[in-house]
Amino acid sequence: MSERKNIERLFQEKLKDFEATPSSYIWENIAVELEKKENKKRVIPFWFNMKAAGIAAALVLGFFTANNYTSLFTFDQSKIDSKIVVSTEKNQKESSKNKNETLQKNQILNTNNPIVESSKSKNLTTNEVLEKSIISDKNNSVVSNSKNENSIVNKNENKIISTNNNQKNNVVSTQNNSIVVNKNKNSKVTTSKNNAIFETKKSSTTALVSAESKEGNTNKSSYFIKKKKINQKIKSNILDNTIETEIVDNTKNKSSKKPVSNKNKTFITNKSSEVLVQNNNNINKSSYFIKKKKISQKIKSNILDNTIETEIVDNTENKSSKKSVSNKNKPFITNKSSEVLVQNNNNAKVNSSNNSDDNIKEKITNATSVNPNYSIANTTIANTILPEGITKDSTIAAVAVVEENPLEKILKDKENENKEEKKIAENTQKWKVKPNVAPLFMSATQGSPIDNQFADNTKSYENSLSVGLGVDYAVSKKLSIRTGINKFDYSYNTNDIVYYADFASKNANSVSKLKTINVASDAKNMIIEDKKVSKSQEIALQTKDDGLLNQKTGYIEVPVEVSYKLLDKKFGIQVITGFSSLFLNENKVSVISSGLTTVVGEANNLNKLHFSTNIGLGFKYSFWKSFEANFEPTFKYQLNTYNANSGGFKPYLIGLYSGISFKF
Amino acid sequence: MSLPTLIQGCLEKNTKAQEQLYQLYAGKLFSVCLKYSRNYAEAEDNLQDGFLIIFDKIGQYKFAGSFDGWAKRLMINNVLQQYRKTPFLELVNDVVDDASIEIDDENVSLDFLLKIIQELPDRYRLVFNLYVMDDYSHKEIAEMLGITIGTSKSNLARAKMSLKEKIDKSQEKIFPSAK
Repeated sequence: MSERKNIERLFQEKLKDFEATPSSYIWENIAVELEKKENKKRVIPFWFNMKAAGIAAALVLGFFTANNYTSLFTFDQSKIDSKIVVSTEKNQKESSKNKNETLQKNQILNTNNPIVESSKSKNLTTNEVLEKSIISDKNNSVVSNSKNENSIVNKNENKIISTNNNQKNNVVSTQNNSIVVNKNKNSKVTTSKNNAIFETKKSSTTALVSAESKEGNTNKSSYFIKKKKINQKIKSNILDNTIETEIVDNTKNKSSKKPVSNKNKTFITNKSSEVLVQNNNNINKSSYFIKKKKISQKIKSNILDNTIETEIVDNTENKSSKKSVSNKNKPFITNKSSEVLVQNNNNAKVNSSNNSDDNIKEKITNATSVNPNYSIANTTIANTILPEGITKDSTIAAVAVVEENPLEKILKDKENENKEEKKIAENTQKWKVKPNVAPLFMSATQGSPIDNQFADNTKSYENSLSVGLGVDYAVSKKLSIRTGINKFDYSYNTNDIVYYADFASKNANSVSKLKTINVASDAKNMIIEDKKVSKSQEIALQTKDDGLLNQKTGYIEVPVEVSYKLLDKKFGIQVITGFSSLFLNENKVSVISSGLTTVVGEANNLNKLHFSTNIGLGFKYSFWKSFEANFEPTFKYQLNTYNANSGGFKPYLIGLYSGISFKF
Repeated sequence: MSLPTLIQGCLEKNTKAQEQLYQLYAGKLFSVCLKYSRNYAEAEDNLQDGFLIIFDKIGQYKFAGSFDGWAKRLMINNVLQQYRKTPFLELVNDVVDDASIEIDDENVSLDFLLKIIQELPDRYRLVFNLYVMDDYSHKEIAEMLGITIGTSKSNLARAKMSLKEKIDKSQEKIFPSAK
């Protein structure tokens, strides 16, 4: 057929959704390329690889800062400080958010809360549904609420609030689904599903009643309830009601008329009314089917496996010419284990001039509370129905439809996805490389490893620096094992010694008096003595010079430690414990006098390998992607530095290990 | 395998996952390449390059939108890279826009339409595809191609005119008596 067509349309129709199958060799090429890439990554300088780049960066940073560790140290602290500030701010935000949420929850659960609070909490929930604010911001409630106040929707909100109030007096359950049903014979209320905006139109004889149900905040889901076909004869009290209420699971079934598969059927009989309630619980995804029939003052209900608490609370809101009068009615219809007691206490103030023409002014609030933790069998459903009859004989049709808001569902799915993503990310980042630098502060117990005569001498310990590279492997979320390699040395001075050349006994190894030292050839004739002792046996013609005896030992340290995370957010705290193997690589004893140093020899009582027990506290701050700044003050107690004759001298070190680590 | 697991697999450089992902999206993305490229061979090259980019950047996909859309954007950008820089003789910006055409749907084959699109000068082809096939606005196109909105509009009009002429010609060949 030849027809005149816009060229854009022609192309769109023909080409927009066409798919073409590429030749099979394309994939082969891609596979080859991908493989090549992988191989290239192994060959090319390692910083082209992301992970390696990170490690390299961390190394560079680490060793760069090693040179000016003091400045790094201050830098780290300031970072940590600022971080704390940030995190507390965040926490505040979060906690305020939580407060809002828990507030809401508590208010629904609490029995004796003031109306004002309940309205707050309700507004929040209502807004979630009404304003589509679910996705964007939950704390918009105040703003959106003010928006709603002038709209028709507000009526419903008010109802919810007042209902809630009543409900609180009657219902004690973990979660509440409050279902508000609006009934007006002359009004038509339609529900737009997503926004839950209620429009009221007068002039229809049948009333389509929209109701909104809200579950507690825990599962954040909301239900829409539509009531249909409630044929009801209402007298001044509720006792002779014809109510047919249907709450249909709307997640699966959007048309309110179609009933969805039911697992539990509960029948509550009323004299001349029928209520069909089907409720879909968002959390355990099970549906409840509750049918109410012929509610009379005392209703017997056949409940299969269900314990249903039904409360019918009378509440009046009269709508005529867009004016709503809210009344507080406190009737109680309690249905505990298959019994419903209906009491209608009508305190309604009715705007009679407006209502005179209306046959029915009534409101049914249906609050259904579902405890999500319970299985279907022991679910407690509290229904609060607030009907009020002003005129005696009337007929109302309504079907209540419970619907899960699709937006809520999407939000939930998204949250779950994010969680999964995070999990994946966490799982993949098991390794951590961290170059570190640590100022070491050494001290020791009393005694002298060189000779007993120096045991009483004061010792001065020189602070030094440890430089190393650590590797962490996360065994679990909290537990990591770590090892690495550090190089450090430490030295201490034995003060108040004298030294002199021994001319008296030329052949003897003078210093060998100090049995723990293998004397170097330069120092064969040198005698080193404790000043106090030496002074007492002054030798003529012999000058004895004052000095210090310095012992310097250097080690390669291989720690094997376990760390347990106490806090693992942007800022983290962990405890570290383990031991280190220390391999001796420097060993020197020298005499220092007026700025001159003479090497005397090396100690022979040092173990080539010794161990230390380590315990420390680690602080970290993740400042960028996989990079973390670490600060780990660690105490290292040396176990068997000396093989013998240590003279009770046991050194210990405190290291402030700091560095930047890279996770991959 | 679900899409998230596939993507995760690709992240881990799992060849099987990569192949599955390729099989899943090759058809859709090849059609994009065919429309945006000069010919079949170049389309294949572009598809190959595009997939390499997708596998390379798959870590950047944050599950925010559909993977379809993400991959397609990447593919389009890849093709744009190829052709956007080719020197292009700027023509006068006179916008002529009446591209309605008398045509018999059944006589115009997809292959023919594809062929005449591919025959368009690079810039016309890109603008035409971006605007007509992928619903980009002139503003977006202008940004993507580094041209002005006016140029984009004029390019589109010229592309359409050129296509129209070619279709007309082919119609005449098939039905010499049609006009």
